[in-house]
Amino acid sequence: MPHAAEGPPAPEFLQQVADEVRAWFPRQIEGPELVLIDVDPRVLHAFWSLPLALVQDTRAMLGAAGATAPLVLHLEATDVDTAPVDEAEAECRAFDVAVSGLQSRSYIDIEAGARRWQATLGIKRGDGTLIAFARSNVATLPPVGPSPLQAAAVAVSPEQAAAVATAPPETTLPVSRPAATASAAAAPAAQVETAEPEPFSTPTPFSAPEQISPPEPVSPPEPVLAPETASGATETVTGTATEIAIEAATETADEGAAQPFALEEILPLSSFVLGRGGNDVELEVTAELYIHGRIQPGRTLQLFGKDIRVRPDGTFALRRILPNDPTVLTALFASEEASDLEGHS
Amino acid sequence: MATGSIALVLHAHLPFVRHPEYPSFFEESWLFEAITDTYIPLLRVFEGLVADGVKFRVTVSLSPPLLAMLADPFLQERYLAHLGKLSRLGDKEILRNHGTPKLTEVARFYRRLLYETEDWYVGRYGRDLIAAFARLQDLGVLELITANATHGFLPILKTQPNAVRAQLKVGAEAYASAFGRPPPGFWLAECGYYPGVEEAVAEAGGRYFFSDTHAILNASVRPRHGYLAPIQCENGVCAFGRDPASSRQVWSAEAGYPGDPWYRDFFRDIGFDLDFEYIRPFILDGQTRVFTGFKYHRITGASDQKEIYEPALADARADAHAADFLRRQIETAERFRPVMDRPPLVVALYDAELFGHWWFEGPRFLDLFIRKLVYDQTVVDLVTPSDYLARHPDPQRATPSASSWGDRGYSTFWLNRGNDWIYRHLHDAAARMQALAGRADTPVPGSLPHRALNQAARALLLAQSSDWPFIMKTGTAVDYAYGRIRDHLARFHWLADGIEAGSIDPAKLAALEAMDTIFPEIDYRVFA
Repeated sequence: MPHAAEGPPAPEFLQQVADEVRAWFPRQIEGPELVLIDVDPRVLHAFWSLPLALVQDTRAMLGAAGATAPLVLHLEATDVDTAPVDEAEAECRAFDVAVSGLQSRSYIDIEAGARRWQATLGIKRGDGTLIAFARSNVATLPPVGPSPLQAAAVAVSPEQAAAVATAPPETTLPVSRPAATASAAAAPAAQVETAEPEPFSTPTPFSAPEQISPPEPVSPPEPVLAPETASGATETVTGTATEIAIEAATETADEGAAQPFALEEILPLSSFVLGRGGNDVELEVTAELYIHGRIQPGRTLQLFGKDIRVRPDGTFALRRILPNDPTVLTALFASEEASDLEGHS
Repeated sequence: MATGSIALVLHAHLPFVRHPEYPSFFEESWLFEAITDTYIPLLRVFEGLVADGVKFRVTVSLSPPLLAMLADPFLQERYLAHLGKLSRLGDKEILRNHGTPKLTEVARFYRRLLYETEDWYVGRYGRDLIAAFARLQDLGVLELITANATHGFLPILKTQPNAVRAQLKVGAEAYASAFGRPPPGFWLAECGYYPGVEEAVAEAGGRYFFSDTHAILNASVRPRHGYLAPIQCENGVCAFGRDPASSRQVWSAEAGYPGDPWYRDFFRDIGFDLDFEYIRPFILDGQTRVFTGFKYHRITGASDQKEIYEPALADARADAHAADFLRRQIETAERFRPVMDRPPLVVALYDAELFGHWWFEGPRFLDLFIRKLVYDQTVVDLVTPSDYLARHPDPQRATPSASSWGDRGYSTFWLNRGNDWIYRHLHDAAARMQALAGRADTPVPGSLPHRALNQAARALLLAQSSDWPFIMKTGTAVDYAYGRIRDHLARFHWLADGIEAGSIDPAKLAALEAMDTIFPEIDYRVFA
């Protein structure tokens, strides 16, 4: 139990103590330490602390080359049960990311399918070898979709087995990428459109963060099932509302190849159409752009007006939610000295 | 047996906000508003159902910080003072609106609500809302669970397993202290799950937890029943996945019920609409405009032109929405029962504060939904997770996938460029706490070092709350969130330095104990 003093301390004394103790933050964290955390199925976060003396001594030991030797985070997949499918995949399973700072942090996009990762932080010599300062924990990325492993057979009655034919097919729609929604503090989305201007919003953190609105199936909502027959085999079934909707959309698209759509029949690739009614077909397509490429090492790159991290070998990659409207991709390349700019669209 | 089941789960949580060092404190109003808008209205709904003999089962999660605040005499006193101010404002509002019958009617409606709230809070419950919830649990209508200690977001804290175990154990202890029994299940903060956390859940005595939909669908083995049945981790702890359809029906901007034009508009409030000098005497600190709860308009539409709120018409809409919600549950049950070897279970997870605070008519919606479900049909029934597991004790074995119910479904909301700087410090403090807790020289209980160690554990737990990075991300009260992280970590390190140096100022320690009173029975060795 907290100490039962004779009387509660006076508010002024509490304030005085709070003010005085506040000086104990932040505490100097010496390190060396490197921590790796999964953010989502495609992104890792790393933070680290390195003692200044350790880095200075190492650079000194390397002589003249030490001054410019880059600090890198070496990422390596540690999955033992998933082999790379090809050479490109193999390259994605071990790579370096240039970083900076004795106490800093970084986000790393993961392109490989491997789920378990470990990082090493160190200075990279000219010959490509690494002088390691810290090694991280192993971080495990969440899977990007349903497991390939099927459940064991379940006993169902013949009637139930027959009824499987009317059940919806398995789909990953509700889980593939929950739709990003505009952040409007903690208000339920229903109220957002009536929100007052920002100064009037309350800082009340009452509710959960902006709820994920999983991609919406057609009405009525379709729970995802992996229906199984008595033998345990998963069956593909037909005729569900979901399939009908998709087929209808496909047919429309095929027709569109021959003759232009009427504008009102074109659905934007966005959840904004959902719930409004009036459409025969409602689709939720969560799509994203995945852009990857290579430029000359040392150059900087801007896409969508933002700096893109270019790896030491010149490769880069980013993901972005597919915009609802036609998008012009504007890229700005700069030389190392930023004296040479190129724009591309 | 019913064709299908619904588990209605309301998670009540607020961060621990208590500032005796100030005569009043703006952020304490979060609790006061929630008591008035949500907790008492929900209790009134449940009490009304009991009084009418309605057989129902609802799961309510009460987080440890909320339990601590509801039980705190200091905050109870401040709440009553706040309520008194609002009641006086109600009197003044009736006078102000004299001559406009429709507005006067709404003002009278609010004043009556405030008087009734005070009557329930003081007269009926003696300020003890925890006892009110406990009684409903004892009557068999509520299944009460709790969350991890300070709502720390476990998928990020997992790099320090001792911190995760402490979060779960201290949460269970807080629950046991309040209700005299171990919690049957846990609400993992933000439905944050990672493979392995079920071990800490089991250690803390929990049999189940909730997760988001994709935690089930992307489980280690493909779920035979999708998210319409729980799955069981290897250690026997079960995971119940959120039903996205029932969430959407309540939360969605486009299709959700709370956006109905006849419902009360949350944002039009005299706290912002009227002259500041008029409302100044009635607001918490006399300086900051706040929502007063006096809201005269209905949502009406997207424009700024709002019609006057009419409670009776809003009530009729709640009735229609309750019927629609029930119809959808029946459709789900009838559609999927034939392909399952057990009744499909819809797990409807909500923040409790949605009902009443954000969605004023929410408690009435729940009331009507439950009555319709019990009396108007036999296809679906209301169950708690424990009920469902008792009926179907053989869930499919599979490990859920890491996930949360936050934006994008993983950790992004609590780990991003706007708040990621905190994790280095939390990680460092947890490591230091573990070292302190593992020291061989266990101090005498009640001694200064012992009290300092317990207070250090409290400080660390408070710093780990998911609310601080959440607020930083939303951008609504960033300075406050930053201040809380900074203060709790500073207090932790001040205490740790004193413990290590063998020198602790007793008066200052008492001051820290007086400010951060949460978990009075904590044993710091929970971090060992």
